[in-house]
Amino acid sequence: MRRAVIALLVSLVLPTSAVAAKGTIAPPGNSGVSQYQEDVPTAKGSQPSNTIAPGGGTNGPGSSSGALSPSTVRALDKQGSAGRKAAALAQATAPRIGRPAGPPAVKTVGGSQTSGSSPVSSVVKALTGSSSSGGLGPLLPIILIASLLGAVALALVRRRRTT
Amino acid sequence: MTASVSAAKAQGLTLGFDNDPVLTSGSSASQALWLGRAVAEGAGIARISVGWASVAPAVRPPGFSPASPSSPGYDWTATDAAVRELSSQGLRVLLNFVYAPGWAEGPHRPASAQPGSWRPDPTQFARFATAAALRYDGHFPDPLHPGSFLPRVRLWQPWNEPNLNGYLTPQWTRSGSGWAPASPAIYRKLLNSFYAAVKAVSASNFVVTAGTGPYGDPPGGARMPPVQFDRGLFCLNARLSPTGCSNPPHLDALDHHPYGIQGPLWHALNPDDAAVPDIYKIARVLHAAQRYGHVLPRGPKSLWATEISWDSNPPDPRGVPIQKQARWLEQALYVLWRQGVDTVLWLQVADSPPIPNYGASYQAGLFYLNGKSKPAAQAYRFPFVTQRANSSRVKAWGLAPQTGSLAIEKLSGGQWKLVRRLSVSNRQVFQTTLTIRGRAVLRAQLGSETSLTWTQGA
Repeated sequence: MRRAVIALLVSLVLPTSAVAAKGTIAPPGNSGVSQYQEDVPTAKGSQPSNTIAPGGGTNGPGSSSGALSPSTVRALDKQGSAGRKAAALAQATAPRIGRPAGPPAVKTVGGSQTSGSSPVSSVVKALTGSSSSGGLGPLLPIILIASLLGAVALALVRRRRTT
Repeated sequence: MTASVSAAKAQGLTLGFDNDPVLTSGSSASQALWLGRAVAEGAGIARISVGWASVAPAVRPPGFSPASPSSPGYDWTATDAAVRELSSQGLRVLLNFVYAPGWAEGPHRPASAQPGSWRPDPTQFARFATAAALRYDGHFPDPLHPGSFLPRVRLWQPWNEPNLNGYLTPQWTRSGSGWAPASPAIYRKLLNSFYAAVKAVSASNFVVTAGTGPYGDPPGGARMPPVQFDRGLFCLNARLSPTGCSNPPHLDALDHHPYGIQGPLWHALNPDDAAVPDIYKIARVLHAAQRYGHVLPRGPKSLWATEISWDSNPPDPRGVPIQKQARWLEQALYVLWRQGVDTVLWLQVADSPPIPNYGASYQAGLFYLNGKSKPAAQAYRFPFVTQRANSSRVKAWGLAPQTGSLAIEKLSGGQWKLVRRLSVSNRQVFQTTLTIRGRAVLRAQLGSETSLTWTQGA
């Protein structure tokens, strides 16, 4: 059950296609030092390095990075390493909300330039795949609606059986 | 409020700096200034990386004797100067060697391989190690100061980040249609030959493995994930069961470089990568190796982190805010220590100039380039961190900047009120548990020194 909850949470935060996509993130301020970059799956495929907000502490000012609420992070944390991994994955791969530290068009992997985007458009682009990479496009809402209908149907069947 | 008179007994934590050019180059006055600051901030160790290829000749001259510290062809001038300068300030020097001269590399180095990285010859490396250990055994005449001797160096580190192809190649070799790890076995031979050489000069020499880089690539890539590298080094399979190991690695300390993509609680996403809170993965491999006799000599081994940092903003526009850099620094010290690390070297005393740009240079100093201190300096000298244990108890941890009576205080009604008093020694790790419900702002105070404040959540 616990695993199912985590899987559900991650699947809601993380667009399906992101699992297959790969991106590179770098320590803050060192996107030009390729040896210390981390290759991870991302929601938008090959995204600019260092676009994940600094954060991660649970104490002091260094807390929270946005994709999951602090209470969700705490809840996942209590579920042991599987929960922590789920939180980490969700935080790292979720569409960026807010701006990274510093101007949005300075450093990118491979020296290419990119511009920042608004929080809303980032989320929309990531979910619908209208950005240049990743996402399921218009299929995603259809899948979500189909899943919802399936869940409702299942609930109805169970209810009939119990009555 | 609870009173106590003694600090909790705990493993120690030695701090230092890594390869900061301001410590080993520039004018004498500038070096002296920065060295003084490094020591004043509590550093005990300075790591110097030396190119084997820059000390050894590109072409061996007649009479070249690679195991002799005074052989013709060797140029120790820069290394002598750095060792002399750092030792004069009371810092212990960790001498780190990397990059082989061409004549000590394996044959057929591909054009894509970094010069000096291709299958370095362990026998030649041992001869070089002997020469270095003899030169810095405390009895070698100082060529610049007749009548005196070069300082003694006890801390030795063969190679750097051997899981990255920037330093050691090949990382992988073809195996059928896939890839097999190559660098762990290459490095094991280098490590063992180096270990034997420096220990033969003095049994009190201390050998630290090359720190592994934190992140890897899939098989065949440029970087091997550090935990996978360590498993290979210690002849363990993916389940940490022993595999054949004719000559297990010899070492005194195992080193890793846990650069974080985010803060000190941020785990690496790939299972065989290791950021700050993932040192336990490295420790787990080491402990398995100890269990199976796959690390020699038998006995306890230390865990070191000889490179860690976060760039700050300012000056790096992509760095983390300076207050956050300071919090992350002290929290990283705690998280590393909690996992068994007893020596941590912060990358820089001072920021580097942004050459060629901020992204490709480091601005992780405790001081700006103009000499002004950042909050990180306070965090480094007097780290103080709290962590909630449960709804009513909070763990407090820190490193004492001097000997004396340390007060842990809580902000209450605009006033700092004593929560706990501890008797501590200079550079002693202290930890204690406080009874605190709800949100609290805490700090430690000792003599005229005060830690950064730490806001503890409910």
